Amino acid sequence: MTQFNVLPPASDTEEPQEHHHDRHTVPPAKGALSAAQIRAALPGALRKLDPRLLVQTPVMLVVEIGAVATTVLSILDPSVMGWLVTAWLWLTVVFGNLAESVAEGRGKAQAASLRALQTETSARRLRGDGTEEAVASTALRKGDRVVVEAGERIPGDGDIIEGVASVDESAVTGESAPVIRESGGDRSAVTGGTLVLSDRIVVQITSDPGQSFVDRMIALVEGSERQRTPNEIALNVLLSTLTVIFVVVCGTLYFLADYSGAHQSWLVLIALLVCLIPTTIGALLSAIGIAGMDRLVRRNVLAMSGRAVEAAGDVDVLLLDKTGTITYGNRQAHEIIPVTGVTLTGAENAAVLASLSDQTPEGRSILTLVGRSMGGPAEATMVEFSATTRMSGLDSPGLSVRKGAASAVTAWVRENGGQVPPETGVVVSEIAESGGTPLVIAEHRNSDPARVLGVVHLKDVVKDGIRERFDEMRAMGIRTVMITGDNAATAAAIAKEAGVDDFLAEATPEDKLALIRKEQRGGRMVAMCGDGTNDAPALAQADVGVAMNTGTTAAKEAGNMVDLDSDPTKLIDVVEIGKQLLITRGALTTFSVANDIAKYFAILPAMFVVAFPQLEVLNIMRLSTPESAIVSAVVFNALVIIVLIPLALRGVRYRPSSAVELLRRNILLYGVGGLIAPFLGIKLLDLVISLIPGL
Amino acid sequence: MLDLVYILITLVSFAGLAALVGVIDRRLGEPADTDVAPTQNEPETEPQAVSR
Amino acid sequence: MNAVVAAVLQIVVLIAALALTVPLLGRYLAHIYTSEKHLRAEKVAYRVLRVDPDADQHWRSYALAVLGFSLVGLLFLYLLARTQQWLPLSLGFDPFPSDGAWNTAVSFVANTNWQWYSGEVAAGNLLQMAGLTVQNFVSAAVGMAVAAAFARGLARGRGQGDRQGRGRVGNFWADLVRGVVRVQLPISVVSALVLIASGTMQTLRSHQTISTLGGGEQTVTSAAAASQEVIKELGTNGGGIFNVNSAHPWENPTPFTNMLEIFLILIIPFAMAWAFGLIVRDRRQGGAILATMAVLLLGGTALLTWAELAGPGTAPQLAGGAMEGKETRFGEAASALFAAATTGTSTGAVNAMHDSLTAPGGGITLFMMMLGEVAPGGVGSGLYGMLMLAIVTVFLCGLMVGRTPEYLGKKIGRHEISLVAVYILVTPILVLVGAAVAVSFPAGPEGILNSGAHGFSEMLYAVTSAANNNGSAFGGLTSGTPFWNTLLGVLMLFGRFVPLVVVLALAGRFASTRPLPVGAGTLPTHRPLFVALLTGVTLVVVGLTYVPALALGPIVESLS
Repeated sequence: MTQFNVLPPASDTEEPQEHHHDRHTVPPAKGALSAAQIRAALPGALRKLDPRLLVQTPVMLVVEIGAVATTVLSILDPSVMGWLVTAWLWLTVVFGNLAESVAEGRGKAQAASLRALQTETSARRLRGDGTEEAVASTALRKGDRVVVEAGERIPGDGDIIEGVASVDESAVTGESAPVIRESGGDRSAVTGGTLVLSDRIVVQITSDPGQSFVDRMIALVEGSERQRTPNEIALNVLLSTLTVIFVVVCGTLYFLADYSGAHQSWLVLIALLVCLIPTTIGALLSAIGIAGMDRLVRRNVLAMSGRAVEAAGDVDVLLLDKTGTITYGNRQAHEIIPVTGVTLTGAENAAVLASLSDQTPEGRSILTLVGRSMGGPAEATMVEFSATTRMSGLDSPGLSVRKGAASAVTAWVRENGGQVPPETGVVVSEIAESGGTPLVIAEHRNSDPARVLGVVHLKDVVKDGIRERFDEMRAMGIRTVMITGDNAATAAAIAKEAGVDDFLAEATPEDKLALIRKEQRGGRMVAMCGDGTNDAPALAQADVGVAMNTGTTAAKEAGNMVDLDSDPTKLIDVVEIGKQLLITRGALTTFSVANDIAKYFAILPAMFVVAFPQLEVLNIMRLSTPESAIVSAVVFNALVIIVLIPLALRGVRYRPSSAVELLRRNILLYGVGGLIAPFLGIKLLDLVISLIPGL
Repeated sequence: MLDLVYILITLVSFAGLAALVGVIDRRLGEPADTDVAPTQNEPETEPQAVSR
Repeated sequence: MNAVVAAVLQIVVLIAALALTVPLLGRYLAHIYTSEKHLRAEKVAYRVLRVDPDADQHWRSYALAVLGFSLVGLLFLYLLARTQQWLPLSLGFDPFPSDGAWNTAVSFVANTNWQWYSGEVAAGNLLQMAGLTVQNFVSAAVGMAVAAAFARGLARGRGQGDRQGRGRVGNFWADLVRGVVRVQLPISVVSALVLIASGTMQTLRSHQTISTLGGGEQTVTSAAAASQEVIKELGTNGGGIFNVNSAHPWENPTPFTNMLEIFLILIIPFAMAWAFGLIVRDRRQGGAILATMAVLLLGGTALLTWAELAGPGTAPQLAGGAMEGKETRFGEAASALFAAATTGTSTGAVNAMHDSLTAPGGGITLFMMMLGEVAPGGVGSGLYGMLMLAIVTVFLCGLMVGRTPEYLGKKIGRHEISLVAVYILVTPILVLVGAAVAVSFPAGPEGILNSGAHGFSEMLYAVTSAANNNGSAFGGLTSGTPFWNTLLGVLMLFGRFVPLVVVLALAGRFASTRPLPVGAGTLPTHRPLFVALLTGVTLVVVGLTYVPALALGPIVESLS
């Protein structure tokens, strides 16, 4: 890597991406459940009553078995209370299923629009001899080559092996501006179903039918391929354990109570059991997982597995590409420093002249900085920037101006008989050391020797607000590492300004991979994003690898998430969504367990007060009758699921802060809240339920 | 006679406990080796992210 | 002196004594469970046992060694109890019946020391010394060994240059021998001498005949009480040489010996927690565990002391104090403190009949045992029990900081939580199913003294005490029947060894997992907030499990 970076070789085809996702993301999920949502989810919820499906959530299976048992008991010995309990036990199961169905339903709309892309089109397949044949897009196999011209849809996922084209990918990404796709390099991947707007390309197909990117996206957003994540499985083990304990508690209570002369009916014991087992979290657990994936989809990030979302919450180190994430990605003119003997205006004028032909953001930023434009002299020829000359400028009769890399321009000055004053070197190295890029401006007038006029200080501009986000990351215990191809001095300056913890300068893809391995050996979880083929190994090695949608197929295959907006800043959002998912799980588990205390205060006195009147003291909620108390507890237990569905889908409120702060806040809210809420809820329900005649 | 019964209960219980050891060992075993074992072909010197 | 002031004063003295000694003993324990050097006496023992004390055992072979050692001990004890009439020093006692012999053998091997018999009229000197006292030492050493293995499993990989464990947790034989030779023997000898100097009896004669002042003759049973007294407390065993246990003046003659015995009960369980912090190289972690144990014990003691001093209930109100069954020499408060310590640990020695505690007081001793013997629990078992609860707490609360749960940098995944789940499940199932069996067969209630709720409490206490390896008896229950001996034997056996196997499996797993670095995003497990959470989770989980059963016993009694 050279000491002095020159202008980037070609202007970026992409627009600056700072607020990219704000423009077109789906509006954030609304908290409340609409009636339409519930209606749509209801058939699914009833289908899920199948015990074979419920085995997945043992807690709800126990509720269903209880419901079957109370149904039988109520048929044998009908009573108002029996039927009330039975009805609400069934409702408990349905509510639990409803949560999952609603969560799944949210992905359905997105899936439908994706399906539209899959209408069968005809493809122009190339034969070995170069002639074309028309085949159905579904008949394409991996390795086939197809021709696509302007106005046609790309028949399948593939890489461009010939040509360049602008492609409308709005159906996949929601981004209306067309993007450039070209053969070779890191922008060669195209997605099936997207529309070619201009030119002609030859695409080599990279996926077989049914396994394309869109196919996988549909499966993901619909949740049909959802596999339970490691933490979800572990939590399920704990919930099942609690369930077994309470089954034993209630089962043995029958005999203990019998001995004590306080005989209990199985109906009441089943009601007690259902109230005690962690139904709230049991019912909402899978909905939380689906909703977490959904929240990512809403930010245009597709997670290939729930496991990756969970891993995002655990990330310790974020590897962030400097360009596009930390800085706006293009250097901007910050200052023009004339050499001794040249006025500022003189240097500025030359800089403007040299930049007239320069369409790069750097060139335009010089015009912006100077703040005035001027027409070029007549008969001027523009000298375009090229990677070999490393300078641009203008030649007209009697006047030539150049601006560019210090070494190139000083060489040009000497070629044209000029001298380079020593102070130029001083200024240039000062700028370079401060992390900026120096551009030397020189002119060659008539037959005078060429001379240096000044130096333009180009600076990488750090994004607004990025420093604050890194501070938040630090508070969360996440280390940020900036990855850049710049030299160490430049990197250090930007790292300092942006507030990242570490940086890796002059980074090659191999360096990135080695850094990830090193962090992982230390037990840390690493997240990164990348787009190029040479990023693929690092993406695969990282615990969370977000591939940019503009990237190559190899990169997308290697990562476990794809960002459709190709916005590297998204990595931070991904981590936050992962954390929010885990917090939601923990909060609802705590809430569920804390609820049990109040339920004991409702049910135990109700069960035993006939045999032991002194236990009425424990009826601190002053519930009207034993029957009403038990039914109220059961109803509360069912309703709390419905009430919490929106929270499960939206996720609990999350602000980045340290573990201690998060814990204190959530314990207060969901632990203490879970302790108090049921006392109020059951009391209120009792006031209504006690009015039911015959209870 | 009763002695035999109690000794048998004891032996069966401990056999059961030993079986529990076996079952746990087989079912849970060693954790999947997710370690990144240092390999020979990895460069000796690693890029060091520089701390500010 | 005001009774309340006296109660507070003795607790303060006890806390001061523990505060001075626990860190010292803890450091010593951490040293012996990590040291690689052997004493000469130990090398002899290893040669006799034909074991290699330097082999780093896989958890599987560690567990099998524990089981094998305990099985041999159990069978030996059974044999000894069945044949004592033919052996020397039997004092002419008959052999134990087979059910009783089995119950006793299980009881002492499982560090429970439930006694269905009266020691002074059933067990000869050989059985007491070669059988029961030996188990008092080694069964306690087994508990400590397993706790040490667990701590080492967690510690693996945490230090510089530490190799990962690959399921290896240390050497059982070294742990066992060191626990006996370097910890229990020295403390026992010193404390026994102090006890003897303070008037505790130590003789091999079974009884003495003395002339009373009235001129008649009286036979006074006697025994080698002091030597067994010390290890009974120190090893949180609890099996007294006399039936009335530490309420007997030969065992516990003065208020000073009373305090010393309470101190001995508590010292190793607390010191193990401190040693844990040192073994995992983070003293604060041990401090948090110790603090949680102390909070639970102090809470229990305070409630119990209140219950006994306030003496709610008709009879105590009429009598002007809840003195029935209490050790009159020391008063209610000393009895309350002893009761809290003995049920908070898995000791089971008593200096008052728990049957005679006030209704809420009896309920509290029950609850202390139901905590799973973690406040501070048995030697070793208290530590690993509390660590299991810490893992549950981490799992429940850890998610709320937005990371998948981990404890001391070791991830708590599906396999880990499954093992913890087994641990958490075993004891409640044994207690509740045991209680249901006891009340459902006619042979169960036959043994109880009282009817109604108090009779129920007597049975609930027995099964709780057995399954939690406490060994204290509520009193009132005549448990020496084949039914009770067998039921309680089964509870003691599985209540001890299933958790122990699971703990070792978890130790092996932790030893093989690489620890994660700790950062600002990690749930801190050493702060007061975590102590509060751990205390809360323990109380809630235990409370939710046992409240219905307690409601039918002590709660109903207390409210009548």
